[in-house]
Amino acid sequence: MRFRTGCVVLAWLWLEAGLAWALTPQEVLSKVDETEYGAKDSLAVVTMELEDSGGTKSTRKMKMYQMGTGYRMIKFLAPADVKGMAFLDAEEKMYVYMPAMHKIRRIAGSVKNDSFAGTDFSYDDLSSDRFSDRLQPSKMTEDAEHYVLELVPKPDIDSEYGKTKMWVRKKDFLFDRLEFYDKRGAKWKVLDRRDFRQVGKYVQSFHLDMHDLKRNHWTRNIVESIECDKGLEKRFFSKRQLKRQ
Amino acid sequence: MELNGAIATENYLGVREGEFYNFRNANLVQLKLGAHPAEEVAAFANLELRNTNFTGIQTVDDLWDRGSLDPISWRINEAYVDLYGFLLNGELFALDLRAGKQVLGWGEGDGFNPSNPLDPFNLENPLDFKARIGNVGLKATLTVGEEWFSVEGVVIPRFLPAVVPVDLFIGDDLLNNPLMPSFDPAGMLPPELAGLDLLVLQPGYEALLTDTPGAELANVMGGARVRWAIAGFDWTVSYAHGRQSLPVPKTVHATAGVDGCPEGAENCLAVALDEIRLIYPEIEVLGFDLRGDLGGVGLWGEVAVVFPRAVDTEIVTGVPLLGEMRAELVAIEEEPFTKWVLGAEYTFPGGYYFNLQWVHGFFAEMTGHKLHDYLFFIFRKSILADRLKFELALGGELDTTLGRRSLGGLGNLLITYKPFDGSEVALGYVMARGEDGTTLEMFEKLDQVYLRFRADF
Repeated sequence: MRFRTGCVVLAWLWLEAGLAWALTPQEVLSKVDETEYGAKDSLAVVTMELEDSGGTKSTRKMKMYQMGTGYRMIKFLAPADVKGMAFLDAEEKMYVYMPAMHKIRRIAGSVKNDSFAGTDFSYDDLSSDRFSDRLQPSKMTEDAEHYVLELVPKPDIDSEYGKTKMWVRKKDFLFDRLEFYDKRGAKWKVLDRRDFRQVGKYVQSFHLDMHDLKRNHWTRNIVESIECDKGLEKRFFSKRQLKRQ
Repeated sequence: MELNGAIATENYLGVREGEFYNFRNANLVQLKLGAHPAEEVAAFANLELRNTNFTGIQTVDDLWDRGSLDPISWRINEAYVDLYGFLLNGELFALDLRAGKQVLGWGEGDGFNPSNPLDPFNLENPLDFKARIGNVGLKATLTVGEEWFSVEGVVIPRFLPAVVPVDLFIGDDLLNNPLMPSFDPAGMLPPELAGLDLLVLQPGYEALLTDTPGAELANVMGGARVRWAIAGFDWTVSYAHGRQSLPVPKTVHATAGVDGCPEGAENCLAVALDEIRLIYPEIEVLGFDLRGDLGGVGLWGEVAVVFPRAVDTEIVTGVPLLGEMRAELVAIEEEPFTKWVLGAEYTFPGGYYFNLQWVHGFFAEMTGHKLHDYLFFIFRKSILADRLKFELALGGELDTTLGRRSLGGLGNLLITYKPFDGSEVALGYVMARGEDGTTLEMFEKLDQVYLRFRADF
């Protein structure tokens, strides 16, 4: 699963919609990638609200930098006990910086499916690969407003999910719902996106809800601000930058 | 400017033979100040105001003095200025400087970093081997290309010793201390007295004097390391010239006599240690570190080749009738030796974290023939969205030095609960047991229950 707080392309939407009837599942997925990863880079300030079944809430605030596919950096701004902690995903290597330990540590592959900072997103969820790099369509249905893709991991991809269902809006090829199923076919997590707004030449969802059905736990991402095409360079996504205050 | 910090109260209850024997408490206010006067400049300070329940009262007069009655200490844990892209900020070379009081954090080992002799230990909590205190220095990091590799150089003008745990000095054997290499009292005696039963009388604290290196150029410490990533691993080669941050005895002045011998004891010679002068030996360390991933398993290794400077302990003993006798013991041999750490970690589905680490050479073991082997295992599991965390750490020690085969063990259970954002309650119990001569045997006196409340803001 790849969710973005980045920017997506609006261009030629009328044309895309007009030609939509002819699209194959693979073409729909490719167009999702094009729209979801349209911006060269982005910087978003995001508040994550975590809530468990008993109503206990906690909040994380972070800055999320992204460039194309393959480069993402997250810096925690709050709460105070995690402030300064930072996460880097670049060229298939993941690092975490822990200020209290004064160290940058490479993250082992086994942690990729573990929860990221207590949220309902795994480290792997937060990586920034294209959907089509990791998933392939097995089935597609549609209704008046959506293509509904059923996606399975490519054979060489190690994923915690057995299947992902994606609701793709016909009007702009943005997805507004993802359902994740475990390898036994049970529904595991649901991601809903709403509050889509125009940000320059892109469209961005400002509200994402992730519900982990097994834990009965929610993570709500509220995008406070977002900037696109800031001119971030590859060398920004570095260990050097990771520990900068 | 950004202001963050924490307020905490830490409580330790010493346990011996099932009885609570010592209560220790610390209350601290921590302030973290951050400032960014410009894009390429950052300044950071970590200040701490600490109050313990150790009263400094010595005379009735002190009862008027709140400072003696309920002492506090101000600390600057870190205070530094970062200059990013200093003089060099191109695509090929970028130079970053950090000047001031700082922790370097060298080494890839988990808590044990033998390749880092530059950061002094902070052993206020002796079982927190990871804690280091900041030292004043200048660090320059040159990054080449897109992090093809980086070169880091460090200069530390003044040596700072380790903070040693107060627990080890509460009514215990100062000579049998895991943080100082013990010396053989029998070696103090001239051969003519070798047949006597030697009784070494415990010295008072005032008898232990510490010589710290002065501010001469010859005492400047420093090091450099090169880091790069290839084949799925991060690699580091480092060199450091520093000092052992724990002391060894350099001279001992003693007086032998019968005072202190049990009544009626024959053949007894009591030795009073009038003055023990401690120094911090110089060392050079060549380090090789790696950390990476193989099949999802996190792996790391840290090898330190240590080149110590020899230290001989001179012992001057006044013996009745015989006069002043002199003897010399080897405290530190000038023989290079190797310490290492090898570790692996894995997180199973569901967030069950396992960490296994083999440590050859405890941080306080300073000579090659005294290195013990330790195996540490950590299990960690968080639930309730990281609010509740269980951590079990088990350690085993194998001492095969001096032809013996002694075992030791350590257990630490820690439960951490964060009821609300920014708050934490931690409850733990740690215990150690060991056969004679093991390091963990000497840590038996540190068995304790601890309870910590903390709020970050």
